[in-house]
Amino acid sequence: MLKSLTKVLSIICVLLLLISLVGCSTGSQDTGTENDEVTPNEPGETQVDEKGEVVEGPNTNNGRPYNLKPVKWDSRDDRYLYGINATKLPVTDKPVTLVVWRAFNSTVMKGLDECEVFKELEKRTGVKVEFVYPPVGQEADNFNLRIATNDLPHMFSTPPEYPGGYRKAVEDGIYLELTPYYDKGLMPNIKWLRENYEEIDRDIVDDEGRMFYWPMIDIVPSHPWSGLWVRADWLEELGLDMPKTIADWDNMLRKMKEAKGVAPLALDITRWYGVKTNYMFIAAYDTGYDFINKNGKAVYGPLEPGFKDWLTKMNEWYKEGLIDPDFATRDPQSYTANIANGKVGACGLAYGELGQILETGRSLDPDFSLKPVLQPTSYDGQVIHLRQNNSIVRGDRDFFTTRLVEDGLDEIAVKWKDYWYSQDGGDLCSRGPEGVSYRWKEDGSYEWIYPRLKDREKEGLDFWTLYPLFKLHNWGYLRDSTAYEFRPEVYECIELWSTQDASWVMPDNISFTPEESTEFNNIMVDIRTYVDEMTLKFIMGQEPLSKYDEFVTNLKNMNIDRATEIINAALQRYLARK
Amino acid sequence: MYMQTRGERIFSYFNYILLFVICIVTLYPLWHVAVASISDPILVFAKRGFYLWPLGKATLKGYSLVLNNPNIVSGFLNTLFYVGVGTTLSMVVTILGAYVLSRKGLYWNKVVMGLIIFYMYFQGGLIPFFLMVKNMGLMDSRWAVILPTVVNTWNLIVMRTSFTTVPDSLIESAKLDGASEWRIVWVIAVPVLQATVAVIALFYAVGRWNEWFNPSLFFTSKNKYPLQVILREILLKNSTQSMTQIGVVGQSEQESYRLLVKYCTIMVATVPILLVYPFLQRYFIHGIMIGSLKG
Amino acid sequence: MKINLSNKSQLQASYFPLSSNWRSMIAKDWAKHWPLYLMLLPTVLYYLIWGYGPMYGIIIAFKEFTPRKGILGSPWAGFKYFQEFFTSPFAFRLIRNTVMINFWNLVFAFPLPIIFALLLNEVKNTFYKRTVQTITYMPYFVSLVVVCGIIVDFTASDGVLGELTKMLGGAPKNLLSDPKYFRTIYVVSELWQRLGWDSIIFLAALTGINPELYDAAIVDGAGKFKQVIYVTIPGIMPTIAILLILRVGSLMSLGFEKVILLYNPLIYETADVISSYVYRKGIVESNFSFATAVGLFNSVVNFILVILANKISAKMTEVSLW
Repeated sequence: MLKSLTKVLSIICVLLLLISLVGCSTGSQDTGTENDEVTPNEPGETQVDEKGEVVEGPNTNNGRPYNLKPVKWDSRDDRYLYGINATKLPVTDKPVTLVVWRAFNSTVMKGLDECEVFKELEKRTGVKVEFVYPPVGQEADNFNLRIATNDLPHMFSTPPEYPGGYRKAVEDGIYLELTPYYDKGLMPNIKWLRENYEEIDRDIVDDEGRMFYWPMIDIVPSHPWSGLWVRADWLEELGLDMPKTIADWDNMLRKMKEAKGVAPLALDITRWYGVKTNYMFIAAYDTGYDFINKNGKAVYGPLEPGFKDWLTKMNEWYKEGLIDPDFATRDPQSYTANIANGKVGACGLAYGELGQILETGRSLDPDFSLKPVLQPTSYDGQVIHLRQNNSIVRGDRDFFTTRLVEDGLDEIAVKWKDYWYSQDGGDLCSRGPEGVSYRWKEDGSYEWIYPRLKDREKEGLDFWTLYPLFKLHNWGYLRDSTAYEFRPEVYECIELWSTQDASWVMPDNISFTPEESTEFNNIMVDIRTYVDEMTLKFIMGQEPLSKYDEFVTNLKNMNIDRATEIINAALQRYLARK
Repeated sequence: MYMQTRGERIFSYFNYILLFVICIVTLYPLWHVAVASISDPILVFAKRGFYLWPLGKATLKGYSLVLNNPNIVSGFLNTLFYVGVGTTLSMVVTILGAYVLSRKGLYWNKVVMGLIIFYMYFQGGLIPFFLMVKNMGLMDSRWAVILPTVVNTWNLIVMRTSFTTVPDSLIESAKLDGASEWRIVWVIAVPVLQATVAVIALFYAVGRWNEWFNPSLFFTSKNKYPLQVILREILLKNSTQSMTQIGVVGQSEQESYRLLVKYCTIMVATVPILLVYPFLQRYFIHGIMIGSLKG
Repeated sequence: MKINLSNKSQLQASYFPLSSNWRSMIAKDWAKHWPLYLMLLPTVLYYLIWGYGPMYGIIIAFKEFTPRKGILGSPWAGFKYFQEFFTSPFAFRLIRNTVMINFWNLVFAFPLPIIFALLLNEVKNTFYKRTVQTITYMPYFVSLVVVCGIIVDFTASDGVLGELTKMLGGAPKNLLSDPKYFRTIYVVSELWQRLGWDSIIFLAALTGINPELYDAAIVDGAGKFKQVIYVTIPGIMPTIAILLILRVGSLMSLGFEKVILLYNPLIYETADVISSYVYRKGIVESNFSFATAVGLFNSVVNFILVILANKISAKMTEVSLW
C-alpha cells in the first residue's frame, strides 16, 4: 500500500519536474513546485486541418503534457500535440535523388534503401535517397578521405567530428549553413517547434543564433539511461529497506559483505557506466567528476569541497573491503559479468546492459533481482542536483554539404529534411509507416506489426536487430523516444531516476569556437589523465588523502583555471541565448 | 659417428620436457577460444577466466550465426585470390630485389638500400597514400589491395640477408658454366635457401590473410571484400559496445550469442591459415647446400 | 693569384677530380650489371611509387592541416604541434614508458626465440619437432582482444595468479593495478604470444648451415655445446644481427592496441605510452597534424638509432643493412 502510494507520488513528481524543466516559458531552472496547477494530460490547443496547416498554436505557458508511460501518450488523440504538418507534399515535381552518407551495419538487410521508412518517404516527398556507406569501423577514415578528395555526398548523417568542429567545416566550405534557409521560411515545421518549445529554440542554434545541423529532437524528454541499482532479493533476505542516505549505504554494504562474503559494491570511475555518467555517490557530496553547471556557473568537480569527502568515503569503503577489489581494471564485459555472477550487491549501470545481466543472473540464481535506487544523500534536507541527463536536442546530427548548392538541390533538400520534423514525418521516422510496421489499437495505444517481428524467435533475432527494416534510430528527426521495445524493468528505472533533479548537469549544446575547443581539449586531455590516475590512487590508498591539496595545486599548474574560464564563457553564452 | 656424452643425454631429456611444457603454455590461448566457441553462451558470459573444457552443453549455434552470413563465401574466395596472387607477386619481386641487393660490387645498391631504409621510418600517411591509389585509377579494383603492399621492407631485408650467406663461389662457378643471372636466382640461390623462402612466403601469406584496413578503404562494393573485412563487420555488429551505444536491450537469444560469435569469428578467421605451416615444414631440410655444390 | 685561362680545362679537371671518374664508373657498372639492375627494377619502382610518391604527407606535421584545404594548401604551423607534445606534463613519462617497455621486450623477447630455435634444433625426432613448432606458432594468430582478456582475468585478484598466491600463503592482489608489474606482464605476454612465431625465421636460417662444418668440429673434438657456440651461432649470425638492428630501430614505436586493452589510470605511471596518449587525444578531437608530428618525432629517433646500431654491427659482425 505504502509502496504504491510512493510510486504514484514519484510519478507525479517526475511529471512536474519535466514540465518545469522543459516546458516553462520563463526558462527558470527551478523544480516544478510553482507549476502545480498544470494537469499533465491536459490536451494542448494545437489543431491541424486536413491541409496540414496550423490553425492555432498551443498555449506554451501551460507547459507540455508529458507523461512517461508511453502507452498513454502514444494514444491517437494525443499524438498531434508535438508537432505540426506544414510541409506541402510532395516537395518536388521533378525526380530528385539525394546522396546520403551514413554508417550502416546490419545482418538483416543489404542497404538502408530497403527500410520501409525511406520507401514511404519517397512516395510522400518525391525525393529518392541514394545511400553511400563507410566501411564498418572505418567511419572516421572514410569521412576524412571523402573530404580530402572532395567526394562529398549531399548529406552526412551522424558523421564523426570534423577536425576543428562543424563551424570550421562551414568555413572550409564543406557543410552548408542552414540559417539562410530558415530565414527564407523553408523550414516551417522547425520554425513551429522553435517558436513553441523554448529548449529547442535555444539548443538548435549556436551562440550567434545560427543553424548548422539537423539534430535528433526528442518530443518526449529523453529519459536517464544510467543510474544506481541494488540486489532487491538480498535486501529482502537481510531485512533492509532501499537505502536513502550514505549512512544507509554504509549499513547495507557492510551487512551484504557479512552475509554474502563478497565485496558488494561494483564501482566504476573511469568508464561510462558509473561516476562519469550517473554521478555514482559523488552527487551526494554536491559535486561531479567533470565540469558541472552549479547554479549557472561552470565549476570543475574535483576542485569542489565535496570531492575530498567523496574520496574519503570511497577510500573508507575500499579499505573495509566493500568495493570490488578489481574495480579499476574491469572492462565493461567483466564489469557486467561480475554483476550477473551474483558477486555484486549494488552497482551503477546503464539499462542497456540489463537484458544480458538479468538473463544470465536468473539462469544462475532464480531469485536474482535488480532494482533501481536513487542517488543517496549525505546530510539532512539535501537535494541532489545531478543524474544522467540528456537535452531534448540530442547530439545525433545530420549535416548538409555544399554539394547541394552545386547541384542546385539545396532548397528542395531543406524542405525535404524539414518534413522529418513535422508530426507525420516524425511519426514515420519514429515508428515507420502506419499499417506496415505498427497499427493503432482500440484503446489508443499501438502495437508493432512488422511481419518479421512475429517470427523473430524462430530466426533467433530480436527487436534491436530488426528495427532498421522498418524504423529509424539516431538520425536528425522529430523522435518519439519511446517508440522501441523495452523491458518492464526499464520503465521502472526511468520513472524512479527521473524524480531526481538534474539542473547541475552541464548542458549538452554549449558551443565553442574552433580556437576555444582546441585550447580546451589540449588542457583537458592532460588534466583528465591526471585526475583519473589520482582518483583511483586516492580511493585505493596508494596516495594518502593528505595529498589532496597538492593534487589541487597540480591541477592549477596544469591550467585548470583557463579551461574553466573557457567552458564557463561558453556556458554563459548558452544561458544568455534568447 | 658422434657419440653422445652422459651430460648431453640428460640435456636431451630435459629439452624434450621443456619443449613440452612450452607447448602446453602456448597452446592455451587458442584452446581457450576453441572451447569457448562451442560453450553455452550464458556460462561463457558468466564464467570468465581459466577453463579447459566447454562450459555447459556444447553448441554449434555460434558457428551457424557466423557462417550463415551471405558474404562469407565470397569473402573467403576473395581472400584466396588476394593470398594467392598477392603472395606470388610479392615473392617474385622480393626474391629478385633481395638477390640483387645482396650482390657485392653493384654501384647503386647502397643508394637503393638507403631509400628503402629511409622509407621504413618516414611515410606519408593515409591521405596522400589514398590519393595515390585514386590517381593511379585503382579505386574499387582488386589491384588496389595487392599493388601498394607488394613489397614488405622487413621481409625484403631478411631475404637479402640470407642471400648474402650463399657462397660467392657457388655463384661464380655457375657463371662459368654460362648460367644467366636470372637462372642463377631460381636454380641455385632459391633452392639453397628454400627454408627461408618458404618462411618469407608464409609471412606474406599471413599478412595478406589478416589484411583488412586497405581493402576496407578502397572498395565501394562488398563483393570484393576479403574474409577479414566481412568477419570484422560481424564482430562489430555483435560487439557489446555497439549494442550498448544505442542504449537499449534486446531480449532474445541472439543477445547472449554475442560473445560466442566473437570466439567463433576468431576460429573461422584463423584456423585455415594455421593449416598452412605444417605443409611448409617439409622445406625445412638441412644440408641443401652440399647438394648444389656437388651437383 | 691570377688564373691562367688557357689552363681552364686542366683546372676543372683538378677541381672536380671525381666527376669524370664517377661517370665512367656508372657506365662501367651498368655495362657489367645491367641484367641485375633489370631484376631490381620492380623493387625500385615499388618504392618510388608507393613509398616516395605519398611521402610529401610528412609535412602535415608542420601544417595546420584541414582535409578540405589539402596537404599543400593548409597553412603552415611550424613546430607548434611538436611544442604541444613536449610541453605536456606527461611528455617525459610517455617517452620513458615507451622506451622502457621496448627495452625490456628487446632484452627478453628477442633472445628467447633464438634459444628456443636452438633447443628445437637439437630435437632429433622429426614428428615431435614439427608438432612443437606448429603448436607454438599458433598463439600469434589469436586476436589481441582475446589475449588481453585472458591476461586481465589471469591477473585479477581472484584469477589464476591470485589463487596461486593464496595457495603459497600470500595475499592475492590485482596485478594490473600496481604500476610495478605492468612491464613484466607486457613482456611475458608478448613472449607467450610470439615465441614460436619469432623463432621460425631462425629455424629457417639454421637449415642453411653447411653440415660439413659440424663434421669438421667433431673431428676437432668439439662437444655438442661447443658445436653450438662455434658452428651454429656463427651460421645464423647475419640473421640475428640484422633482426637486432631492426629491433633497436623501433625502440620508440609501440602500438597502442595492446596497451589500451591492458592499462587503467592506476598504472599510467608505467603503462601510458606515446601512442596511447595520442589515441586518447584523438578521441576528443582528431588532429592529423598532432598525430603526424608525434609520429615524425618517433621516426627521427628510430632512424638515428638504426643508423647507430648498423654502424656498431658493421664494425663488430661485418653484417650491415647497407
